[in-house]
Amino acid sequence: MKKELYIIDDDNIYRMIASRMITRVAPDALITECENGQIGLSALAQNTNLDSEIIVLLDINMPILNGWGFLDQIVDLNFFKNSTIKIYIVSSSTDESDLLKAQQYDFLGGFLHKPLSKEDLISIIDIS
Amino acid sequence: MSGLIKDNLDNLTILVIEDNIGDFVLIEDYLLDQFQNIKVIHNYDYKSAVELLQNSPENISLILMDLNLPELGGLSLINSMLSHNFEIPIIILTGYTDLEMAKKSLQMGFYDYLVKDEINPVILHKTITFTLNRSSFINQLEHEKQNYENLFNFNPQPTWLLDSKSLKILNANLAAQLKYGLSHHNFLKMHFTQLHPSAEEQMVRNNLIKRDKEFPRNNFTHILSDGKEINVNIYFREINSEGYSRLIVQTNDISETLKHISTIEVQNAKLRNIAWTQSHVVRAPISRILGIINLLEEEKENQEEFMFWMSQLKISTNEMDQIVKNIVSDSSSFEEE
Repeated sequence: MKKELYIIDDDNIYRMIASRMITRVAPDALITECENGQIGLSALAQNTNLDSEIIVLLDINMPILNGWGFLDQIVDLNFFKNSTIKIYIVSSSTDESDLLKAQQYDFLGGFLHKPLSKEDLISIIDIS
Repeated sequence: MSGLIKDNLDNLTILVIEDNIGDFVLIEDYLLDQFQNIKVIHNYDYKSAVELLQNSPENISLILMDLNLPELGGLSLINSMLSHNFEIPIIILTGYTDLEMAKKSLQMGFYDYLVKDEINPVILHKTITFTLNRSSFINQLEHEKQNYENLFNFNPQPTWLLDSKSLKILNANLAAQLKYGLSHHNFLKMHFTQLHPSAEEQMVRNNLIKRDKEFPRNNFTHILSDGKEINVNIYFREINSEGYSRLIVQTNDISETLKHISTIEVQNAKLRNIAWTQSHVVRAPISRILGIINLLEEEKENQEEFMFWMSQLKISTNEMDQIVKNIVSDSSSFEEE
């Protein structure tokens, strides 16, 4: 199945690094970069490709719509209804309050710390 | 206590005010017979005795006084003697004719009386010993009372004495007068609850009257005479004074403490903010730097890519530097506050 990755993060250098790493691990994956949660939501909404496996790498701290806001919208808009989507939080944060908050969203695939290692990406993309 | 009395008995100085030389000689004999190291001073009349007492009262342990002196006698002698407040125990010497007067003198503050015709060395010794004993106890009680008054008046905590039923202020110490800016006179016109804002009055009254040992939430507001409000803890105990139930109440100004606590809370919030910033903002360039290094390891063969990532490394490192500087300056602003 075709894999589509969404990198939702306001740090464009991070997005560049992540894309480059993903390309190395999974050369066929389709990558979409979004600089905040709002843009990420619209990009996901426009995706009508029911065949692909969607993987979201979500930052927490972003302007306009941050990671938590993004997750709340995902719940409200019932995104899981007609598509398979796997969401991972990828944050610089090692603050425990963020980890605890993430546990409230039981549909999350995991909480990863930046920088993403090659091994992280292999496991994310393969198990999805 | 017993040491004090023994000392008194060993070094007695007794003033005998007696105009009848025969009576005096007899009493002096008895005294010298009964007490060792006794000194007997003799005055014939009231006037010379008072002069002696006014000049050196501290030397006299006890006074034996005839109730009939040449210029003064009976009730007027008793009253005149009492008016001087010499604080020396007085024993009346009297004949049968003045017995009623002598009895009356006991109620007025004299220690005892002796009927001249009945005096013998043993009775004299016993009467003097009892009198000195009793006066020593009374003096000690007076000193204790004075000590407690000092403890109250000079206690550095504002302290009040209240009527336990009405909560009317009966006494206020110096610390209370200074702290609250109210004179002793002003305090005596007030009830304790009037120091509180009206919203607290009922609660304070209930607690003080019910004599709950502790207030459920011991943080009250008191209003000083200049209108300034302070936060106080209130402590109180019931005491019995002169047969009446009273309350001793102390307050402890905790305004400064509360201010310090709120300062600490503000600083804690700042610290939490710094910790969060550390986690998010500081780690952002670090994770970027680490990510770039990961990539560099993969792409060392491509010179153009390599140079690009190297310049990104420099940007992220500078960003990191600025963040650390900001944290240092935020933290140091703590000390200035």
